Amino acid sequence: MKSRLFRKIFAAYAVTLLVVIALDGLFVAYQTHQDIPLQVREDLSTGGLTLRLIPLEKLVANTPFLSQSLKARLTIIDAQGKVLADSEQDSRKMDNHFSRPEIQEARSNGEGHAIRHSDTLDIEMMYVAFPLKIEERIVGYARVAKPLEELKTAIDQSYRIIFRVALTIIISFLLLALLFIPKLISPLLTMTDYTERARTQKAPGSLMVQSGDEIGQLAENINLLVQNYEDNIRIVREEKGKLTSVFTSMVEGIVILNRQNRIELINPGASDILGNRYSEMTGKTIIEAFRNVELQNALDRCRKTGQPVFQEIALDGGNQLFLNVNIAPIKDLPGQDNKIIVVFHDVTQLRKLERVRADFVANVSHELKTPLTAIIGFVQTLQEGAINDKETAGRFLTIIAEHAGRLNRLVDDLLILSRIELGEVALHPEKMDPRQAVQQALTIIEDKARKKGLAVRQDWPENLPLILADGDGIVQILVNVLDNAVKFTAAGDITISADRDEKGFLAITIADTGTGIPANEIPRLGERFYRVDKMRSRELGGTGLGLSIVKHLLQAQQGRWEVESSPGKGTVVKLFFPLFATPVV
Amino acid sequence: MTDGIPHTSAQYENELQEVKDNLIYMGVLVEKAITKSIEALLQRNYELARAVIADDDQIDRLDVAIEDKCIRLLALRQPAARDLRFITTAIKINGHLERIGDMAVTIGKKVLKLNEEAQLKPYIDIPRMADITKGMIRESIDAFVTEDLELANKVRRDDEKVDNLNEQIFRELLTFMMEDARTIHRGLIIMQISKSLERISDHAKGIADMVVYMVTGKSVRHEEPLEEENITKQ
Repeated sequence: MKSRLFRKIFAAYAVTLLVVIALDGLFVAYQTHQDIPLQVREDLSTGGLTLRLIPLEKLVANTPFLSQSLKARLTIIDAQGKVLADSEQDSRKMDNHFSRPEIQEARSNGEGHAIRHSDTLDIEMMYVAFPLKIEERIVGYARVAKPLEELKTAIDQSYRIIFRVALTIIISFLLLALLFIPKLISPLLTMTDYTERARTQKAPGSLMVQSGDEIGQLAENINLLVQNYEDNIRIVREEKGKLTSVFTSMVEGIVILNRQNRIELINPGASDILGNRYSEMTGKTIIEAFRNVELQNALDRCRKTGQPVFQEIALDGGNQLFLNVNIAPIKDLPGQDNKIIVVFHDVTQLRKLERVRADFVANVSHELKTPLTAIIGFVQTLQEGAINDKETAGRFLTIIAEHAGRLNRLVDDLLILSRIELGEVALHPEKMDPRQAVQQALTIIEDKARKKGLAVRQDWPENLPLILADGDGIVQILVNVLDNAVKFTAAGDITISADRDEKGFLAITIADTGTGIPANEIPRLGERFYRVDKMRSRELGGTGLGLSIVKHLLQAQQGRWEVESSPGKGTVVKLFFPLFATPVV
Repeated sequence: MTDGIPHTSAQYENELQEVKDNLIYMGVLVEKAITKSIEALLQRNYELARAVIADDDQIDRLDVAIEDKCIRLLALRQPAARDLRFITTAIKINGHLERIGDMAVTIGKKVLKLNEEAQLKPYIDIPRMADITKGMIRESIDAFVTEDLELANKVRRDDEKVDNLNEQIFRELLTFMMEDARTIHRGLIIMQISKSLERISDHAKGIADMVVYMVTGKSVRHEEPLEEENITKQ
C-alpha cells in the first residue's frame, strides 16, 4: 500500500500503541521488580518466625532438616556472632557474623534484612535474621536466606510473559490495521482520483461513494461542487461566446487600450475600417499606431477627465478616411480598470456624399450664374445704347441667344438627371440590335465629326448578339459618349466595336484618339459637373452633366461602363449592356 | 526598451515610451505644418499661412517638454548602453523636428510675401519636393520607432532626390529671372521656399543618421548613405 494517508494513519496508530504498550510493560515490570523481593522476604520472615519458638540447642541440632522444610539456607549464630550451625556450610570455617547488617538490625529491631553478596557461598543472597531470646535476653540469632538468583529467574519469567503479550497485541494490531485502514481511506482515494479527473477533463461524470458518514457527505459535496463548477464554466463560456461574436461581427471598429495606453485588442471591424493602412497594431500606443494628433489629444482628454470623448478624425494616407471616434474609460469591470475602449464609425461615405451635395449646389449655382452674368451684361449694354448700333446689337443678340441656349440645355440636362435619379423616366428594356442604336446615335453626331474631319469607323463582329436595353435610353447614352469623343479628339478617328464577355454582357467599345483622361480622374467621371479640363469643356459647350446622365441611364438598365485612357493617346469607353436571353418556357 | 528585454521598472519603461510617443506626435505635427504651408502656397491662402506660423508655438513647447523629459531621465535613471543611445538620439531628433517646424514657419512667411504679387508660375516641383520630404520625415520617425535600419538608409538616400529637385527649381527660376527682371523678387522667394524644403530633408536625413547610430552604435552622420544592395552586408 503506497498511500501516504495509509502510512500516516498506520504510523499514528502504531506509535500510540507502542507508547501505550511500552508504558504498560514498564509499569508492570517495575511492579514485578518491587513485588517479588518483598514476597520472598515475607516468606522468609513467616518461616523464620516459627524458629524463635525452638530452643537454640535444638535448632543447632536440626539445622539441615529445618532448612529443608523452609526451602532456605539456615544459619544459627550465638549472641557473640559465632556461627553455631549452617545448613550449607561447615560452621567452624565461617567467620564471626556479629557485624553483618542483618544481625545488627535484628539485635536492635527484632528483625533484620539485607541483600548482599555472600562471601561464604559467593552469590547474591537475601537474608532475614531474628534474635533468639530467653526471658528477654538474646542468646543467639537465627538467619534464613535465599539466593537472589531465584528472584531474578522469577522476574525474568514475568518479563518474558509481558513481552510476549505485547508482541501478540502488536502483531494482531498490524493485521487488523492492514485490514481496516484501506477500507477507511479507499473512498478518499476514489475522491482524489475523481477530483483529479474533474480538474483535467471536461466531463468527469459523478462520484459514486456509498457511505452515510462524513466521508459520504464529503463525496456528496464534491459532486455538487463539480456540478456547480461545470455549470459556471458553461455559463461563462456561453457569455464569452456571445461577447466574442458581438465583438468580432460588429461593423464598428473597437480598439481596447490597457492602462499604459497600449493597444490590447482590436476587433475585425476595426481592421476592416482601417484596411491595410497600418501594420501590426497590438502592443503599440495610439500615436504610434495611428500617427494622428487629434486622436491622441482626444485620448489624453479622456484620460484626464475620465469622461467619454467624441471626436471626428481624418486619417490620411491612400484614401482619406473620416472616422467618428468615441473614447470612453471602461468602468466597473473587475480586472479591467484603467482600460479604455475606442470605438470607430466609418463616416467616409457620409462625408463624401455631403461633399458631393455641397459641390453640386455650388456647381449648379456657378453653372447657372455664368451664362446669366453674360446675358445680363449684354442686355445692359444694349439698354445703354448699343441697341442703336445695328451691327453690334446683332452680335450681342447672338451671344445672348447662345448663352440662353446653354442655360436651357443645362436646365434640360438637370431635369433629365433628376428624373432618372428619381426613377421618373420609365425605361423599358427590350430586345434590340445594338447596331441600330449606334446608327441612330450617329445620325446626330456624324455632322459634328465630319466638320472636325474625324473618321468614324464601325467594326462589328459576326453573329452580333441582341441586347436588352431601352431604345431611347441607349441612344442617349451613345450620343453623350460619342459627343465627348468628338469634342475631345482633335484629329484621328473614332472606332466603334462590340464584344461579348463571358458574364452575359455585350460591351460596345468607343475608342478615340483624343486628349485622354489622367488615371486619377477616371473614378470621378460621372460626378455631376465634374470636368477633367474645366476651361475647355465649357468652351466646347458641355454642361458637365453628360456623363452623369450616361452613368445613371446605364445603372437603370443593369449596365455599366469601363474607361481606359492614356493622356495624349486617347480614351476607350466600354459600355456594357446585358445580352437578350430567350426566355425559358 | 524595444528589443524585448523588459526593464525591471515599469515606470521607467513608461517614461521611455512617453518620450517615443511625444516624438511621434511632434513628427506628425511638423508633417502637418509642412502640408499646410505648401497648401497655403498652392491656394494662395493667407489664413493657412498664418496658422502655420501660429501653430509653431505648440511645436516649440513640445520641444522644450521633450528635452526636459530626456534630461530628467538621464539624471534620474542613469541609463546605460541602449537606453543611453535611445535618449541621446531622442534629444537630437527632437532638435531636428523643432528645426523642421521652424522651416515650415519660414515657408509660411514667404507665402504671405508671395501672395502680395501675382503668381509667377504654376508650382509643380515644389509640391513634389514637399511630398518627398514629408515622406522622409514620416519614414525617419518610423525607422526610429521600429529601429528599422533599412528604412533609415532609404531616407538617407532620398535626400539626394530633394537636392536634385532643389537644383532643378533653382535653374528654372534662373531662366525666369534672366528673361524678366520683374520676376526676380518672386523668384528669390520661391527659391527660399525650395531651399527650406531642402533643409527639411537634410533634417530628416539627420534623424535617419541618428537612428542608424541608435541601432548600431556607429556614427554615420558624415558618410554617404549605403546603396541598396549593400545594406544587407552591413
